[in-house]
Amino acid sequence: MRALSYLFLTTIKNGFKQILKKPALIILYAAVIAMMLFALLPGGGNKFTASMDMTPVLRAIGFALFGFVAYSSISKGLKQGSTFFAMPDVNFLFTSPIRPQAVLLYGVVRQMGISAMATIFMFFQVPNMRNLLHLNRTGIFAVISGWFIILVCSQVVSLCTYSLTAPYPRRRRIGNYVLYGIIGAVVLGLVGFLLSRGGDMKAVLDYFALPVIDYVPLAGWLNAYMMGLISGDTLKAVLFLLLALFFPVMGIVLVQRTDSDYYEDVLQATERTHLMKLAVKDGKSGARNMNQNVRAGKSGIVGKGQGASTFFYRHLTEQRRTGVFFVDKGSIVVVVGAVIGGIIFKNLSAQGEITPFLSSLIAFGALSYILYFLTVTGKFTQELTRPFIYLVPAPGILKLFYSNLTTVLKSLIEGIVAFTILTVLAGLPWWYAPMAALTYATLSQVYISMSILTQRILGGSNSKVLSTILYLVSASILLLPGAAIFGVLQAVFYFNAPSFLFVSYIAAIGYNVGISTLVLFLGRGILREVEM
Amino acid sequence: MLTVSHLTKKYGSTLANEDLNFTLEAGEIGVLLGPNGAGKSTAIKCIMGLLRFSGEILIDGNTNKSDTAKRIMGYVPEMPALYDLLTVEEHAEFIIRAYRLDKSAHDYAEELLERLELSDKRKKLGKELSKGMQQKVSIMCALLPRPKMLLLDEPLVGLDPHAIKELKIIFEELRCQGTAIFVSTHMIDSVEGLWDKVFIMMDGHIVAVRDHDKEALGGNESLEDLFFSITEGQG
Repeated sequence: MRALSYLFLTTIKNGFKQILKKPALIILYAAVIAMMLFALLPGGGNKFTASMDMTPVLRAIGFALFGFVAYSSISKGLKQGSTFFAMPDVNFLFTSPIRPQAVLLYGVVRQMGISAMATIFMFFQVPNMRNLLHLNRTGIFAVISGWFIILVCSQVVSLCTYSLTAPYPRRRRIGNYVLYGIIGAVVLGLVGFLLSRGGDMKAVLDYFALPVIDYVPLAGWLNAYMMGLISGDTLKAVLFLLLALFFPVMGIVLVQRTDSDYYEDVLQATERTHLMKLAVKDGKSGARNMNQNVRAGKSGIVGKGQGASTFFYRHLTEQRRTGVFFVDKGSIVVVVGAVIGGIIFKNLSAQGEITPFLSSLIAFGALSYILYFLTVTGKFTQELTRPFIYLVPAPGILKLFYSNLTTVLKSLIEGIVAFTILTVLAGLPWWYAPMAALTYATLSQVYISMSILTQRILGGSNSKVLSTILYLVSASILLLPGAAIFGVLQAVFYFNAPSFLFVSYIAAIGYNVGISTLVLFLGRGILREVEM
Repeated sequence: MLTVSHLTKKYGSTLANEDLNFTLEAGEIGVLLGPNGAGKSTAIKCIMGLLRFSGEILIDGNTNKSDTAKRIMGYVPEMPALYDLLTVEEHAEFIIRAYRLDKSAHDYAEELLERLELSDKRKKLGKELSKGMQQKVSIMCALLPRPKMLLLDEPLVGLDPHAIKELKIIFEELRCQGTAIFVSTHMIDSVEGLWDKVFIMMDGHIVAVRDHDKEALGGNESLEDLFFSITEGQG
């Protein structure tokens, strides 16, 4: 273990040295730590004022979240392998005389470190845990530790499952049957329960409170651990924790005992992850969306397209291959979010705890937040990382327009579907669907304008810190005036003429179109100035 | 030194290598030539013990996945990847510990740093190096344990002319010391005049083997001519 401990400790030491060399990074980390401490401080006021018992909600959310993390990870492991190794580990550790068991242990420890980092963001949710879920210190510990353990366990189980099943198609089939059998049983159970008890939210929460749910592998066990701690049932918490830990430990023992040659199993996944990391390092955000299952299918570019418009038609061709036109995984997230939000708003509204006005604002805010992440990984950002947009002889403004068009159309279609669902489910006024959808679609252009503005100012600079700061500044410049106009008009119409609330959306649409067109015009030179 | 018998590697239903059989003696330089997708890297990874396969691979009489075999093997991967947060000299230190090398290895590390023009980069982190520099560090790490069997997968890609020249000199020295060297490449001219055995791969098979001593290429036929006559003739 001397070599492995040297590697581990030297990596940590050099990591700290790197931080000390960069004042901006120190400030960033200090800010993050300060925010974490601030979040940990007890909040004032409303923390115990809410009347609802939030334990059933937490139990249901916990199960769903743990289930999603665990089963998506294991499913990925069964399909294409999983890894907690990096490419240098393959090149140096796998080929060295260090025992594979020691290397595996090193990988697990390293993964725990990475999972611990991924747990940090949970600390920012501490005020919400206190105020919305009414959790005390033990409860907060239960949630954060549960999240950490599920991250580690999922990775380990995923790797072990792959290693034990990959060379044997029959075992792999059985693994899939078991995985989808468990998911199917939980979903069918829920449907059956809702049919017998009525389809309201309380029935959903009651279903996840059934004792049998605690026995669903990993997700149920860790949820039972978390809820055991919260309810003060320490024995239950410890027993289910041991059960949850036994599973990955058994996996590691099996991999080692059966002399399973796991190097090959992690090699492909490690190479894939390495290539993606390299691409992301180079700023190719689209690389994150590398999809192994894409098939070429029908050949040829959709439609015609000449000059700048070829970019639009090429995007359409890619869309045809990665999903149904304008629908991808992001669209599904948006629509599913709208359905869940619609049901919650409907129930809260029925209980008189929320007004349609507030529902409409929260829904728009939440979907706009998701839209940001869908836009920054969208076609336009990917286009800037390839040479063609710089080389094609066409006016810059047209190239910018056409390379953005799919993002606008996709956002518009997503918006129409999602806000129509919300309007119907939450009982919002009829005009909300088209108005919010148009505001949503034009907002995607403002997000893209933020990218253009940042690129235009920075040119070929590679400083990530600087570009992040500039991105935030451009967000303030471009987003805040629109948000302010929208907010003021909403307040004015809400108190004076509620039937004219739609005017605030028209104003926001006008602002979004105006500011994004202006930035598009001013930024038309980025295709000449930006260095790849 | 290297004996490959009936090596077959399948990825699902795709046959990457089929029934490969060849040997390489101590002090020989073997070159594995082939077009893209011929299965060269897969064969190298199988020999290095990174992949499962059917058949048998022996390194100096030991199965390739044994500790004894790994102790005497060096590997330069196709994709150089260093530890981001380890400096060049710390990579050397790590290899010295991983292979449990004696103190003289530190002197050898110094020599290699010098020869590969890495001395002034010794304090640089892995992530701060260019791809060519990373390749040089990979080569240094592979040479440091003084392997009896050295495998290199496209080692010349990304290297500057000086490094290529130096690497060829190192190859000659290692050959004289009895090290078997197995190089996979598609840069034919870079290995011209260097090889003892050449194996030409296509579609997962070895379609031709030439021994430099026994079957010297006839007349003015170069390795390039041989390669194209075989690969294009088969195509």
